[in-house]
Amino acid sequence: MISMPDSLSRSGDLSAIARKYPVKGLDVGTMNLVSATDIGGKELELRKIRHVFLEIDRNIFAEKVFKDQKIKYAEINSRLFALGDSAFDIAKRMNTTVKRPMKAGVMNYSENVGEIILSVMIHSLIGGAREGGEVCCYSIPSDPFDAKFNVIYHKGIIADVLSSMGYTPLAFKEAQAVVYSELAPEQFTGIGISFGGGMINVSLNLLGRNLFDFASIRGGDWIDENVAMALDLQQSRITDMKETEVDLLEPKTRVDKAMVIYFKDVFSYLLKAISKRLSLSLEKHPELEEGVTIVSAGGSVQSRGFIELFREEARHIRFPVRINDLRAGTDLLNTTAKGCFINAFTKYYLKEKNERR
Amino acid sequence: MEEERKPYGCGNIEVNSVHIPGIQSERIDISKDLDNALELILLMQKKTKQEKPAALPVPKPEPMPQKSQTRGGFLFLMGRAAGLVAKAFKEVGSGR
Ligand SMILES: Nc1ncnc2c1ncn2[C@@H]1O[C@H](COP(=O)(O)OP(=O)(O)OP(=O)(O)O)[C@@H](O)[C@H]1O
Ligand SMILES: [Mg+2]
Repeated sequence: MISMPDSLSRSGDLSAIARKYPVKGLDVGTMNLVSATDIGGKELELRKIRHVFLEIDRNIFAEKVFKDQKIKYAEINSRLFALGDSAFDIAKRMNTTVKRPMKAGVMNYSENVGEIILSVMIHSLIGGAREGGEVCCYSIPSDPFDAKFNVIYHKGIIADVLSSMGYTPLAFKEAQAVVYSELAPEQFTGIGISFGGGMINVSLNLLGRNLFDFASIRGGDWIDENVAMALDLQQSRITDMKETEVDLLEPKTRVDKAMVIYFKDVFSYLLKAISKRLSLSLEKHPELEEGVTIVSAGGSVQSRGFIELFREEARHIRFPVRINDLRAGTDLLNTTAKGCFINAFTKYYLKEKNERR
Repeated sequence: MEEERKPYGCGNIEVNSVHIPGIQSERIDISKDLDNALELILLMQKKTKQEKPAALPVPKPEPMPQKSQTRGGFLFLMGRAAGLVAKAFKEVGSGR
């Protein structure tokens, strides 16, 4: 049994507990896998890998070449798979596109090697449990309100992968992880949004408790796909441009302009859904009348002009409460993993305390 | 045994080797996050005192599936496959 101080005042105390009671956070994303591991109670190590793969023809690339070039790969059933950024590099060279273990925030069931590749990549980030039953809190999306699937199977698969590595898996909604990471100054009250590749996840919290959460499938991939269709261009090319040169603030090119049209549409669509649910929550929780803050994280927020455009759209929406602030998170790609870490740590601290009573 | 593997949908899965060098990694000061966790803990404690004590999720450590005889089908294979992953890592090195 780990001994916990009865009153905590400084992070120093918590550092001591963190050292004694290690937990890990894991963001299982469609495009990126990110882990958060405490190292000796003072530092958090964040590790990241692009969540993509590509099968390689052995006749073209010998395994020896792979080793020499520091390429990330796995050999599974004697088939070679390049992983992460290496898969991207090779795909570019071979003029093809990478494959993904996940799609729209959940396991991509049409990729039959996806699950094993996911386990390989998760293991490369977090290794096995440091002690039997170490807690690993992993992110799951919320159920989408605009698609028919749910996340139950996906959640089960990740839990199995983690327990087979010796962990006690603890699922946590991605958008609530954003709240835990970013809304401490607001006493964990407000709306966290994660603008990911596969999905957009939303959660409203009141003092750290989830009041509602939902997802939409109109994430980054959906935008890229639609812009590509509208302009009759390749989707991977559009994604590339979006990540490197698109300007939502001062759109100049056709791609910029199409991006602005789709982003604005997604913002308005999302904010209307948020406003509707806020009204319902307000009936039960009049405390919300003081207003809420909206914080956005995830890869898409990195687009130039994203927050400005989002704020602009929010001005056109009628909310039942004041929006005190609408801002971008501080560490856009690490927010979810950090929130998962904080959740695991908090839950287990409280669990220990309850058991000691 | 053969039958149990079918639900996985890809026959016999064998991870022969894993080679993942140079994973992108950074270290950040944890104290801000721990301070945030402290805020949250205090909030939760206040809440639980006000309400009746909330049941916190207390997942039990799962037995390692490789050793489990009772798991069938898919779960068994995930466990076995993941065991192979771990073994491959040990042998080849994960770049950690
Ligand atoms: N520099 C950039 N500028 C604009 N967009 C970017 C940039 N980098 C990544 N993105 C976009 O961010 C999205 C990926 O974000 P993120 O890594 O948060 O997703 P994820 O967590 O893997 O997915 P999900 O949460 O939906 O499962 C993609 O649509 C990607 O194109
Ligand atoms: Mg995400």
